[in-house]
Amino acid sequence: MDLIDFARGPALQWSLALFIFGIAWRLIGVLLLHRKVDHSLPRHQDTTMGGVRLIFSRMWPKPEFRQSNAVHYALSYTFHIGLFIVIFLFRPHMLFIRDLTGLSWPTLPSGFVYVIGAMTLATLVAMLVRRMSHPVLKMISNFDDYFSWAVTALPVATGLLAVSHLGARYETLLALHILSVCLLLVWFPFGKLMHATLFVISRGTTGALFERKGAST
Amino acid sequence: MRDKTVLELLQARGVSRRGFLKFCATTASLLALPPSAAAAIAETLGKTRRPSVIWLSFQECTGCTESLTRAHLPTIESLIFDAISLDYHHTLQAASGSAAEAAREEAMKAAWGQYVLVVDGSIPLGEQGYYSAIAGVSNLEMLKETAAGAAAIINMGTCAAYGGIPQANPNPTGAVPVSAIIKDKPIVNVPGCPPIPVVMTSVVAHYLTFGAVPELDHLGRPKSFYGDTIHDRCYRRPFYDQGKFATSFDDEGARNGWCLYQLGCKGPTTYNACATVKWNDGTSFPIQSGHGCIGCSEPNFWDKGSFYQPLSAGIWGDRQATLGTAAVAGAAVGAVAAASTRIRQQHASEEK
Amino acid sequence: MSDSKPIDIPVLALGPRGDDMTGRAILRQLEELLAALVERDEPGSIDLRSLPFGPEDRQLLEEALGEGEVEAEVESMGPSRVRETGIPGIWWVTHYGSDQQPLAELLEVTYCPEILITPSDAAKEGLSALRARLFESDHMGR
Repeated sequence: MDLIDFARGPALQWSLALFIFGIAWRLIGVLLLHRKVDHSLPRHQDTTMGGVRLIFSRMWPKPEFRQSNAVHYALSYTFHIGLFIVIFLFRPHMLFIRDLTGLSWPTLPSGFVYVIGAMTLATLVAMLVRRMSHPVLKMISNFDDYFSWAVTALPVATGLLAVSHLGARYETLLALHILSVCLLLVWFPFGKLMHATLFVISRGTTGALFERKGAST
Repeated sequence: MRDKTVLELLQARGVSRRGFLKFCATTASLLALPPSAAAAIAETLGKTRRPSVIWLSFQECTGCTESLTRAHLPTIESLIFDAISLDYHHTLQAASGSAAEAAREEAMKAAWGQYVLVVDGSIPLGEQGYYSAIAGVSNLEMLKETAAGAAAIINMGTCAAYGGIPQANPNPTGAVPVSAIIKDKPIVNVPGCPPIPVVMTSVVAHYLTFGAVPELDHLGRPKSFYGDTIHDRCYRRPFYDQGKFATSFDDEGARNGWCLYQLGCKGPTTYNACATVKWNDGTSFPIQSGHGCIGCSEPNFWDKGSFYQPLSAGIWGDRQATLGTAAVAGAAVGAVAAASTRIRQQHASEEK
Repeated sequence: MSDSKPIDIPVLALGPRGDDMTGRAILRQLEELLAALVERDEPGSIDLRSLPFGPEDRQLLEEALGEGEVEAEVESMGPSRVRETGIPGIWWVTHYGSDQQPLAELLEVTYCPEILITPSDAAKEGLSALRARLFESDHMGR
């Protein structure tokens, strides 16, 4: 079995299984947790809207921080949107998901996606440089942050190498690309990347709590 | 005839000096050599004695020979190959039975250590190799015996090069490629199911001209023909970059000649010259005729998932079952984890 | 037979890249080769089939090089078309197979492409053939 067959076969199979296993584990584990009974008198009874509101309102900085966090927000938005385009709006990727789920949707011209991919990678590198040079960010960063960065950046980098045939033969680069995605899938549920699903729960819970207390969000 | 040079033999067949120069120029171009190589080819063929080629057909469908006999005719490389050099080919030669086998033995004796051995078909190892035999001699025996006196071996077709369809799962005959048996001779692989005719004759002509194997890739294929992927040289490539794909074999995209990636085209991972040299005297190639590449010049092409599944899709059997099991198992572990946390929390609050 | 209509699959798409970058590069290389011919008497050639050569590149080359004074057809193992471009010393040579299929296309930088020159062996044979014909006509009593 050559590398590409291994990547497309057993490697993908097992990493996807671990990905789904891990996500189910952590989500169910969090959702079934016991919550302390709040004995205080609620200011509002229905807290759903408060939860939903916070999920969205936290996507934008508060006016007080807008100035100081502008760069951070700009970079974060760029690479998140870039990742979305690269992952979901590139035809071969859509076909991969269609093969698994049966869902399909329109995609963008491949040439455009390559440009977005390069921009995404550049932004990711800028984020890493910022993390390593900013005194506070540097202090609060741990292995999880750096490793999660690496497993996110690697598929983008190897994908770009594959389309540009740089460094090795296409099938080798494609195999490395798929294997880097396997690494991402396996790490995803167990590291900080899980924020992609947990942010809804944490913000929703906090929002609901604030709503109940009548606190400003 | 054996003492004459290739040029003399060509001239005896009515090829003029100009025709010969033209052959040298076109061969250099076809083999992706610099134009200056044409002069070297001319000089070599003016001195080289008549070469000898022995062609053995093993576990195969004769598709490679069918393809070969449809080479652009009459070109000089095909003249050099079949009219001048070919001493044994049991499908093409007139002799049969013991006379044919005698021709093989005679050719081997006459040019021991110098002839080129061409093989098409894989070699079955099961049942002591007697799944396939010629004149009571197993393919395995005949290959070993004939390869011993060969200067080089050229594997025609994916079966001889990589095992091909006979070796595909479940490989009932225990088929293997030539390289699994012969380890001590230079081997050139010319894979394809079948290979492009002019590629077959040119590779043989290249060896006969230069007396050395051409530059090969890591799978033993001549780089001049197998240096680029079908995808990279495909005339439909711009549509891939523009994101224009045929989504079925009779939709608007298919009629417009858009990229066949979504319909399972294996062009991006297949190295061959179909997109440039083309088939049937340069008429067309599969993608031009509306069907994706099936990747026939790559090892194990028959066992790499469906021909109609996009290249980016994973290849394993029952996805739903695997991933469903993973989800259920994950949910169960999550529930257990939450339950144990709850018990711990309860203990902690009771202790307070 | 079914009454389904044949589907027309378009086979002409865009050029390799849709620009004439290769054509421009070839013109630069021709300049060097022609300089080598003029200064050092060294002929050279460019194999157009070895390059990613699109219709835009062809158009650029044809316009830049133009038409010259000489155009010749050689009939040997299929036709070959040899024509001098508007730049003397640069020849456009196309070899076709016996089925009219182009086999090779070269830009030769030389005073005269070798395929046009009569080989000396052929000239010797020509001499004896001519003498034989003279001998024949002498004995016909003219």
